[in-house]
Amino acid sequence: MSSKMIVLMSSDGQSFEVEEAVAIQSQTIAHMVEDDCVADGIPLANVESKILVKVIEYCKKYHVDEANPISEEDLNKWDEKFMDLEQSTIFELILAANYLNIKSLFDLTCQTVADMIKGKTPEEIRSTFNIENDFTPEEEEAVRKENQWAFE
Amino acid sequence: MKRKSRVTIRRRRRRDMCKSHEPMPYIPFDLVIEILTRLPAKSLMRFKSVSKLWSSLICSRTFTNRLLRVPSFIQRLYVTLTFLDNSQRKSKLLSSSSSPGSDISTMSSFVVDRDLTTPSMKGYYLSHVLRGLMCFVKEPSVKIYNTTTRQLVVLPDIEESNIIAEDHKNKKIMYRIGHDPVGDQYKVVCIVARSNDEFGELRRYLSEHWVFILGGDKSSGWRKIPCRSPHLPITQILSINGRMHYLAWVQKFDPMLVTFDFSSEEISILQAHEDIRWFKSNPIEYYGKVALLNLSDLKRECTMNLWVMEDVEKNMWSEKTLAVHPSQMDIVKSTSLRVAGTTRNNEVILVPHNIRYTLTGEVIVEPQNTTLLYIFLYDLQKNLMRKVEIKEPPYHTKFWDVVGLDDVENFMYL
Repeated sequence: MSSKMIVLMSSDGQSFEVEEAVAIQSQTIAHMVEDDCVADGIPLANVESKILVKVIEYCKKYHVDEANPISEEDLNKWDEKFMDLEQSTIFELILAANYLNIKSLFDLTCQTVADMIKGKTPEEIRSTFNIENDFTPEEEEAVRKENQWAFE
Repeated sequence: MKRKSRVTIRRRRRRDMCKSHEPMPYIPFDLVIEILTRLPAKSLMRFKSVSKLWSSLICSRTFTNRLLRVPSFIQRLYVTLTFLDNSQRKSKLLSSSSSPGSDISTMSSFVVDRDLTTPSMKGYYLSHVLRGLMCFVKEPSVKIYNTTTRQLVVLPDIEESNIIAEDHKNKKIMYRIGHDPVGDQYKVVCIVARSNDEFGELRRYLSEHWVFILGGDKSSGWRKIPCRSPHLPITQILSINGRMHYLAWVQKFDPMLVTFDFSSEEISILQAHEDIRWFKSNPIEYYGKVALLNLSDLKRECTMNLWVMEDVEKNMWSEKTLAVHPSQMDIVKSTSLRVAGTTRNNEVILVPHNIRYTLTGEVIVEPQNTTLLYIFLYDLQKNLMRKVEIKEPPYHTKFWDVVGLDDVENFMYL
């Protein structure tokens, strides 16, 4: 049985040929396939090749059928290994999963980042997300005191 | 070979986390919110100090509503215990959780994993917990505690109450937290009542009903609810499906079933079946219906009496006497038990209780087993009781009690 292939083009000009059945895990791509505008390939202006490679790897693994049977337990283990990436790469993956509308990848990447940041101090959070502290020292102290237990 | 790669992965991750306070690729705020909804309570409360935007987000109703985890799979049993520390008496509020992986029908023990003791609870009676919110009472004042965020608010006094201001010996004040599912509001109801000091046919009751909306504009204060039939509550209060129910006396000593709807704020009163014994009747939820479980004969005859309100419109009740299974008679004969609500699995929570009140108001304090803490879960349909242990850190406990069972993580800002 021949499977239909489509071409995905990253923002930095690289092309990737992917089975349609695998690619439509992205709701964004699925809509485009429905609207029949994929003949010349799909340009993904917001996703660079380094990230697109990972997205395709994920979608291939999650395209579960008789040819690729896999248990939930094995998928969870695979997720853990898959998410062993630089924090900045995971942030990029969140953006890509959101843009491409792949819910399970979005959930996985958000949860991974949540787990990575949950132990941080407010200062570290500001640094990671590039946030300015707009509290006065008194205001900040008041908020800290109100939630003292969370700092212990 | 495999082991080596696993270790490498762990080491890389730790390095990654340590050095990655460098700014990350820009993430629009709506996606940051998605990350925040996956954080535990402690992290969220700490991150309120990140910026004003984060603080107002974490307190906002839309955000906290998204976090409302009902029901989570972890059941929490809240326990108070009083112990001696260098001959000084101290009290603690502990939160214990059911073992992860076990569901409500198979959980066999609770493990104490959080100490929620705060100095502001000293001297207060921990009345009940509902949807993550706990009620502390020291008549006439009341405080509400969020067990997830650990925020504590003191509610204002009900200054306009006539009955509270009186120095009457039979004054009764009860508080109850409830949830209005229609308006998605959490409210506290205060019932204050007393008898009119007459006897026989002339005996009547005076009562006031006040409502306070939590998380709203604090200046709005307590609002009085009109009630056509003043009454005196004579049982504990049951909250189910956005309503609360209890037995009360309206005239003389005929028990009436009072219902308060948290949404419409209307009080309705129905005559309870004439054969219902009100003394030691506990309003419970029985498969979605209002029921009264009476434990008066439990110790002596090993039986329980259950009245179920089958039809509200027709005010039809059904009655059942439950005989404790012979293999479990020893338990009920040797331990005084009190009802502390029901689980989502329709099991009645029975707590060993050492303080008993007789009909004449006498208080009897029995010795309490303070080395082994446990509750019983009673399945009324299968007529079987099972013991669930509470594994607690070693304190020289003098006495202990259960506040309630809850499985809601509620992040609401009070």
